[in-house]
Amino acid sequence: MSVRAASLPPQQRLLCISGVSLGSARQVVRRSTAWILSLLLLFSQPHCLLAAEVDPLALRSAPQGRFESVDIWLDSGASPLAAYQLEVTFSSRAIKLVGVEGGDAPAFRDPPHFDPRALQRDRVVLAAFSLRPPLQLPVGSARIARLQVFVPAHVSAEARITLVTASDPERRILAAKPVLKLLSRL
Amino acid sequence: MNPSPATLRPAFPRAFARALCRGLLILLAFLLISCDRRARWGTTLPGRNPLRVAAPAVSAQVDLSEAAGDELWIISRPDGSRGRRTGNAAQAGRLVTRIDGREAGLPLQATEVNARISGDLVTVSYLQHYANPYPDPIEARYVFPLPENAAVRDFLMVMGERRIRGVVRARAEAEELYREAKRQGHAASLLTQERPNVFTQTVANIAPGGAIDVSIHYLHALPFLDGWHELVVPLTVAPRFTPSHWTSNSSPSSPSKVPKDHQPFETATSSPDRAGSPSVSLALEVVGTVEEHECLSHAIETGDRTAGRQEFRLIPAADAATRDFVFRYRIAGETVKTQFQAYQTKDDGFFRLTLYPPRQWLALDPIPLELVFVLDCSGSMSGRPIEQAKAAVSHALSSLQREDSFQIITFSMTASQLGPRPMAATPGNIRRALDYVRDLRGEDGTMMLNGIRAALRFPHDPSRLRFICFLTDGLIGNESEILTEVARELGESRIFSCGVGSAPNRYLMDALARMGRGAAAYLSLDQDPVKVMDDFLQRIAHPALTDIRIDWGDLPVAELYPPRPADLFVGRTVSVAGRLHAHGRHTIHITGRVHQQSVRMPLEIDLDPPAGGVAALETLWARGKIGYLADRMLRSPGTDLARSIRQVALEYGLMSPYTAFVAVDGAHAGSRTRIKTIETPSQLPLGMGSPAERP
Repeated sequence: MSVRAASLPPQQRLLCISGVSLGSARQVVRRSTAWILSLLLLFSQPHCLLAAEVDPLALRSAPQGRFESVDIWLDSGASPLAAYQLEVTFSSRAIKLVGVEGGDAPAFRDPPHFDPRALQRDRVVLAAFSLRPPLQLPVGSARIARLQVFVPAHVSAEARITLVTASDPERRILAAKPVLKLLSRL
Repeated sequence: MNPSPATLRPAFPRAFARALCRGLLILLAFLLISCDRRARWGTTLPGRNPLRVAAPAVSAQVDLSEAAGDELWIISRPDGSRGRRTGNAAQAGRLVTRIDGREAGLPLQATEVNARISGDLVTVSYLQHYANPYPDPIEARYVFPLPENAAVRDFLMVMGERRIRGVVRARAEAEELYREAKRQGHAASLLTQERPNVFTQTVANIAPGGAIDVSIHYLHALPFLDGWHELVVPLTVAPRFTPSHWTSNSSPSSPSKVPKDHQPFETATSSPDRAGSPSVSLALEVVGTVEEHECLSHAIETGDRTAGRQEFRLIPAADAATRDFVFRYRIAGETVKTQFQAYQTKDDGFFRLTLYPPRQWLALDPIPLELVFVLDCSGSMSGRPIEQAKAAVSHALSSLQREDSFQIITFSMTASQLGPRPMAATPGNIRRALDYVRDLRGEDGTMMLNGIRAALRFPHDPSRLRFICFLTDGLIGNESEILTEVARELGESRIFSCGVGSAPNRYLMDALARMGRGAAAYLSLDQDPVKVMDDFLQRIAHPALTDIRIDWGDLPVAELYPPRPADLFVGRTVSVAGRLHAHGRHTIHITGRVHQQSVRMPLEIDLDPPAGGVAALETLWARGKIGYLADRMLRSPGTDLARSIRQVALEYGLMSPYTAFVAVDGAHAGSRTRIKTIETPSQLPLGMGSPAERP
C-alpha cells in the first residue's frame, strides 16, 4: 500500500533518501536522538563497555619525520554496520594526529567525529553512525576511517586500536573486529 | 601511552613478511613514479585532483619560476600618503598578479556561506574553493574575516570525494606540522587567528589544475538589537592603520614589522573595480515563521517557505564582498523576555541566561546627560563614512535637551575639540557645534589613542552621567593598546561605540562598548543616521539596570562568564553563561538598580528533564570563557593567560589566538620543490578609498 506523504501530518510523513524510506519523521528523529545520546554516553564512559583489542601497527620513522595514513578497517561479519566507537592510541606521545578522514563505504564516507578532550589525553576516540537503511550499510570487512598522522624523526611507535562498540541498525552490539593498516603511499 | 607488557605479542615473523611485501611495493611504486612522476601527479592519483578547473587562457604561459621572489602582487600606492598602514593604504590602487606582463588567475575561486538560524543561535558553514591555474604546485593564502564572537569548531579540507577533518593543535605546533607537510609535498591546510575577527587560511601543494576546498564551521549567539535579532556575516577585511610606535623592527630595510601585541596582520586589498574577485554566495535558513525581516546591506531574494522555516539567498553581485552582510528578523509569536537555556549530560551541564530589558523602562523620565562625541576624521573615514557620521552627530546635537551638556572631540593624527569644557546644550552652543561638525573632513592616519585619551581625560561635569559616543570605522592595528587604555582611564564614563561604514572593525566596536560599560551600534552607508541616533539617545537617556547581581539560590552554578553581568540598556540584552548540573524547578532572583532604585526580579527555572537541551551551549560557554580570559589580558597587560586560553580551546576543539586547525593529506606526496605562495586579496570596502565611490 502506498501512502502519499502530502496526505499525512508533518510528523508522520515518510523520510526518503535516494528513494529508500527511513520511516516517519518522528521515527527518524527518535532513532537519531537515541544514537546521539548513546554515542555521548559512550564518550563519557568508554571503559565499562565492550572492548576488543587487536594487533598493534608499527609506524615507520624517517630522518626528517614523515606523514602516514593509517586505515581503520572493521569487520562486522554478516551484519550491517550502523554505528561504531573506537579508540586508537600510540605508544609514543610524539605521534601527532593531523587529520581524520572517512572510509570507503558511502555510509561512513564523511570523516568521523573525534573527541578533542580525549585527544588532549593522547587518545583518539572516533565515533560515527549512519541512518541509512540496512542494505546501504557495509557488511563484512570495510574501511571505515583513515587517520593522518605525523611520525617525527627517530621515533619508533606502534598504533593500537580498541573497539569500544559497534552495532547494527537495530542497536544490537556486534562482535566486530577492527584492524589498522598502513596505507602504501604512491 | 606505553603498552602494557602483558599485551605485547610476538610479531617478528608477521612483521618480517609485512616488511618484505612493503619493500617490494615501494620498489614497484618507485619505478612507476620515476617513469613520469609529474604527469601522474597531475592526472591520475585517486582523490588528488578529482575536480579540475579550467585554467585562464593566460595561465598556460605563466611560469612561476620566473617570478622574482615570493611576492607576486604589485601594489601601487598614492604619493604623499602620510599614514602608514599594514597591508595597503586605504587609497590602495589597482592590485593585480602580473607575470610576464599578463594577469593571472587567483587561487580562491569562490566562497560559499550557508547559515542556519534557530532561535537566537546561528550555525554557519563557510566554504572556500581554491584552484591552481598554474603549471606548478602552489600555496594559496587568504586573509578573511569571521564574526568576532564566532566559535570555530570544525574544519574540513575537501579534495573531490575525500574529506579530511582538521585537528585543533597549539598554534606553534600546528604551524610546524603545516610547514613540514608543505615541505614534503603533501596537500595541507592551516587556519590561524590573527585577531578576534581576522583569520588566515593557507593551503599548500595545490596541484597544477587541481582544486582544494576548505570548509569552516562556526556558531555564535545572535544579538538582540532594538527589537531585532541580527545576523552579521563579514565579507571583507579592510586595510588598517598601525601607528609606528606599535611595531618593532620598523627600519625600512626590515622585511616585516611585528606589532607589540604579537598579532601580525598583513592583507592585500584588491582594486575597487573588483576585477577577478572570487564569487560569493550566501544562503540563509531561518527556523520558525519569520514575521518580519530586512537586509541592511545586500539585495536578497526569498526562497522556499514552509511551515516552520524560510530560506533567503543573496542575489549575486560583483560587489557583494565589499561590505558586511547584515540581516535582521523577527519570529512570529516569539515572546521577547528573559530566558534560561540549559544543556546537561549525565555528569555535566551548561546554561545561558539572557536578560531582556522590561518595556516599562521606556516610560521612565530621561536623565540629564553629558555627551562627548568623539569623531574619527582619519583618511579611511573620508567620503561617505564621515558624511554619515556627521549627519548622525548633527541629529544627536539637535535632539539634546536643555539640561544636557555636550562636547565634540575629533581625531586623526592628532586630537582637537570644540571647547575646553562641557558645553550647555543651549541653542547658541548647538549652532556653533553644528558649524564645527559641518567643516570636518577625513584625512591622515588614525591615531585613535589620542582621541581616546582626549575623551577620557576631558573635565567631567559631576552633576550628570557622562556618555562617550565614539564614531569610527575602527580600522586600526593597535586595538589592544586602545582597549588597555580604556580599561585604565575609564573612570565614571561609559562608552557607546558606533561603527561607521560598510565593513567596520566590529571586534573593536564591541570591545570598546564592553570595556566602556556601554553598548555598540552600527551605521552603514545606506542606513538612516537619524534612526540610529534616535535609538542611541533612547538607550542612554533611559536608566539602565546597573549593578546586576544574580541570586542563584540553591543552584550549584560555577564558572560564570562573564562573572558579573554587564549593565542592561533599553533595546539590548545581556547574557551570562555558566556550568550547572542539577534538576528540578528553581527560582532565581535578578537584582540591580534602575534610576537609583533597587529592582528584584524572580525567574522560574525548569531543569527537568535533567538530560538533553541545546548542545551548542557547551561550545558557547567555552567560547565565552576564552573571550573573558582575552579581555582580562587586555585589562591587566602583565597577566599572561595564554596558557589557560589554549587549554580551553584544545579541550573543546575551538579556534583561538593560541590554537590553530591543521589538516594534512598524508596519503599522497608531491615533489619537494619550493612552491610559490599566491595571496588572494580582500576587496576594498564599499565607500572607502575610491574617489568614484565618494559622493
